[in-house]
Amino acid sequence: MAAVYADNLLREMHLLRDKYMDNPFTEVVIALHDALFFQNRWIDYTANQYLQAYNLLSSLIPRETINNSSVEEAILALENYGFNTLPFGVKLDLNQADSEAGE
Amino acid sequence: MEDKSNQEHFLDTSVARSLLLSTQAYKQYFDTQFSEQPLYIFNYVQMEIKRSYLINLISFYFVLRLETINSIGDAIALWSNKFKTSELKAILQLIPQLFSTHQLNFSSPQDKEKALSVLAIYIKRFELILRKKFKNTNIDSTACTRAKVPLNIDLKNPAKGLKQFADEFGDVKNCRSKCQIDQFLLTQYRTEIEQLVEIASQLPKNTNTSGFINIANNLKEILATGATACDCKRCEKIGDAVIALDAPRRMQLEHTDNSFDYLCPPINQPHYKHPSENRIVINVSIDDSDQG
Repeated sequence: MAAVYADNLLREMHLLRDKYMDNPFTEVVIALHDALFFQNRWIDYTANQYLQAYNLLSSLIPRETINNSSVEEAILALENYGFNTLPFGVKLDLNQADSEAGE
Repeated sequence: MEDKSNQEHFLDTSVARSLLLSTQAYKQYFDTQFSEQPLYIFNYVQMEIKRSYLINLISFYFVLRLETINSIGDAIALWSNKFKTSELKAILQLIPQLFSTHQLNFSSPQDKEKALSVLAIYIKRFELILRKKFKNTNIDSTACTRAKVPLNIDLKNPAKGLKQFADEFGDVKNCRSKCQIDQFLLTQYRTEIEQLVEIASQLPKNTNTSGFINIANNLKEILATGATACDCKRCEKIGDAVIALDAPRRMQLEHTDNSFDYLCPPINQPHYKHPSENRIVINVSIDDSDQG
């Protein structure tokens, strides 16, 4: 059943991204999108985390304008709820980078 | 046994960057090490992450934005052919993950604009989390000006804010004119630096010591030449020393680099070297295969 909602959520998020890319609300949604859909991690999050994200997004919708600090607070709230909004892994050999820098 | 529950953790760039950017297995390793304890950095560490990662992401943004680049694939191809260092190659790991998660078509000119927006949003979010995820010690003895360059992105026109940041961050002449790295090295910590140079002169050069010896050689040149030897390029080569010297002595410096094994003991800086990402990832793989 969860996959039905995940599929629907993903499509709605992409629709929002494509139609309202420069909207501040979209910025928050994309942070959640990246946490959920990188390597299909949506399956790992709990019902309570989804509820927290739902309440957060719902609190933003009625606002006439969302300023940058509200966006930042919302993204940090997602992080506090346990959503990893920077899920992408970059493997950087730091010692190699250091020796390159030292050349 | 010593109670470590109240130990405060100060993160070197290698650990701070891993907490933001490494593979899930490595992030989980650090989560178990630090549990819910507060983690500290200072502006200089933020600057090193901006210099080694954020500025390269911004460069990629402008490669992708070029009118001569038709698609994400074109930008990746150009980047792959022209940029060879490990820090630049790291971008090639991030970009496919980010754009694939957004199901963008790498050969479609239509998806190039979407990719630019997605990347700008990611850069903005990365800078936010770098700024807010860790507590700041507010120690800023070098007064690094590059660290304070703001990144202000309006998503209606991200290129403007990104370019302004890149211009100001890249203006090393101006930044150097405002920082205090020369006083930091030549006055505040001169005695400690002379001691480090002396220690390095007596060490054999091998894989464990080479990083520290390279740093010490640069410090030696700064001691000999004076303030004119201090610039942002040189700072890149002595960053570990700056971080060790300015780290709060009451905190444990968390790192992965061998150089701190030689930098920290002479200045009485508590420190802990964590295993490399490779070692953690390989151990996880072995554990998984044992269970299979």
